[in-house]
Amino acid sequence: MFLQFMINGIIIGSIYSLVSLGFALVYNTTRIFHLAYAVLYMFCPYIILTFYSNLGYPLIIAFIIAIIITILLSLILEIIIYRPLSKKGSSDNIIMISSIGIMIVVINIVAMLYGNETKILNQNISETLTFGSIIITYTQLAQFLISSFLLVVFLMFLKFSKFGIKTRAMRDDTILCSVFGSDIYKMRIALFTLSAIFAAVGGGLVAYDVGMDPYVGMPMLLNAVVALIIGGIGRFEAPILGGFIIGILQSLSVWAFSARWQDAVTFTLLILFLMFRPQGLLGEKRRTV
Amino acid sequence: MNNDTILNIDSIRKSFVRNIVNVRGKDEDERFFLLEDIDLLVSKGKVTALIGGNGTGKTTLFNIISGFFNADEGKISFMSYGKHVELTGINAYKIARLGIGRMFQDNHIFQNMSVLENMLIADDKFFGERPFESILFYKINNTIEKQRKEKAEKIFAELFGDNNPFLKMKNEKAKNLSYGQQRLLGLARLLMGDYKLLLLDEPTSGVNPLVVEKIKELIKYFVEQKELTIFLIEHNMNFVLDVADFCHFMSKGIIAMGGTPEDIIGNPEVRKAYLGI
Ligand SMILES: Nc1ncnc2c1ncn2[C@@H]1O[C@H](COP(=O)(O)OP(=O)(O)OP(=O)(O)O)[C@@H](O)[C@H]1O
Ligand SMILES: [Mg+2]
Repeated sequence: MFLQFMINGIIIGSIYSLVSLGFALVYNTTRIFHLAYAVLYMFCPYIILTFYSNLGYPLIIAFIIAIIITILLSLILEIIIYRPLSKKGSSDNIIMISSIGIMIVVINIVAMLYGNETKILNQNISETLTFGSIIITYTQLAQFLISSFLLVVFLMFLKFSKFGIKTRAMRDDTILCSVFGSDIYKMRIALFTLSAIFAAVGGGLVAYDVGMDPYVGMPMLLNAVVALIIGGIGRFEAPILGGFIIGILQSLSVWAFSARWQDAVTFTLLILFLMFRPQGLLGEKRRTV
Repeated sequence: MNNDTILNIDSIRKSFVRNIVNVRGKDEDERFFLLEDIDLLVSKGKVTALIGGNGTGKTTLFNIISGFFNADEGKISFMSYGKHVELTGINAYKIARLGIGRMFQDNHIFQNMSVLENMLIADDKFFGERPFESILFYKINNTIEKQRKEKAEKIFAELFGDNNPFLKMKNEKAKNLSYGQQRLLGLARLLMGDYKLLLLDEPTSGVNPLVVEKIKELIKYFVEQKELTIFLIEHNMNFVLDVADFCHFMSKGIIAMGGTPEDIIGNPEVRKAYLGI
């Protein structure tokens, strides 16, 4: 049984990692505490629902359309809200509050259009693979393979391409980036696009398993932020490590206690880290002098 | 603007708002002109120094040239690839691409990136900066990455000899370099770009005399071997006397005096107003 829960933990951990990475991509480079990211995660499944269940498109096509529409939503937020505020030199807090505002508005619109109740994408019970005593559903397998694939591709991208080098450079010093000829706002378009892809894929994969309601974004965002903090803010590998740790510990807490302990475990972890290792696992202590 | 001029700063004015307490004891915002009327020519292939007291607006002038601030009035034109370009209203990143390099007053390096990556990011070939390029054109991207690395290593070897600390530490984080080394990295990095004019804001501040000597050597090398033009802000008068061809003294929002470094630094008025001797 332990092994089964461990594997479940790794699978959900891969989703947390993906979603957390998308958040980190924006936060590390722009310092925007992008709370509206939660609605991107929630928004994609509803578009899939529309195209797949209501209009009868094949699942894959519906998923791709939904990802594209989620990217558009993300870019709209950047272009009409974040960019003008940044250009005006608004403080990080003001930008965060506007992000909360957007989140509430979008959640309410979705609730109005689709209703508050949980909607299901997949009516059938997913088929399973059995390895000895371990059971994995095909949905879980897809979750794990797709997220891991995206994570690996992205990490290589970050390490070896000029775009990756620029992304890491933006984390250090955006002014210096523009001095070397980078259009910061063009970079941000690329970053908001990538981060929307991660949120949309994560949201779609989870919704296919357990369904959706307009409020699924926030709990996931909290997991993502905790993953970022325990991994270590500032590094792009960190949210991935953090995501897997949270996934595994949550799953093991279900095994040891009950499902009700999942969130308690997440926040205990957060508090322990904030108290004893605020820089996270991979972070370095800031030099004070 | 004749052919020897690379940068023409024409009647630049810049105001800021400051908060004062007025006669009734209330807070009030007041607009004041930090730069009253700046006129200055920078000659191609020469070293021009800008001196002046703390807070007179030298860095502000550099920020206007590099496109971080807009001037209230006046214009700046730059000779780029044989054409006059008006810099007014152009974004900072575009000004960089026109051929104006910049080094900031405090050490500005990418702390958490490796020494080598600090060089790579400044490369004037922008291929691979779009996310899909490096995946779709994998082969070209690899070749260009390799060329970039070779270029960076060649610059290190040329400037600092074959067995230098930068080559040895190329894969270490740049923040592990000493303060002086970080400054030298900042200077070396400017050779990665295809610049015509370099704006250096206090290149010798806070480094030891040995590094100051090295910086002098680099500046001479930049001008003589790389045909660069240098416009620098400096408080170190001996340094200015050694490297600069022209010197301008900024005071009360205008260029109060211009000429050879000997004339300006030797001038009794400058000595009284600025050096206090
Ligand atoms: N964004 C701003 N808002 C308001 N005032 C500003 C702003 N930027 C600069 N200043 C004003 O400009 C002055 C400093 O100008 P600047 O940094 O250009 O001086 P400097 O000549 O480079 O001085 P130093 O030799 O000390 O580097 C400050 O005293 C401040 O009053
Ligand atoms: Mg200054």
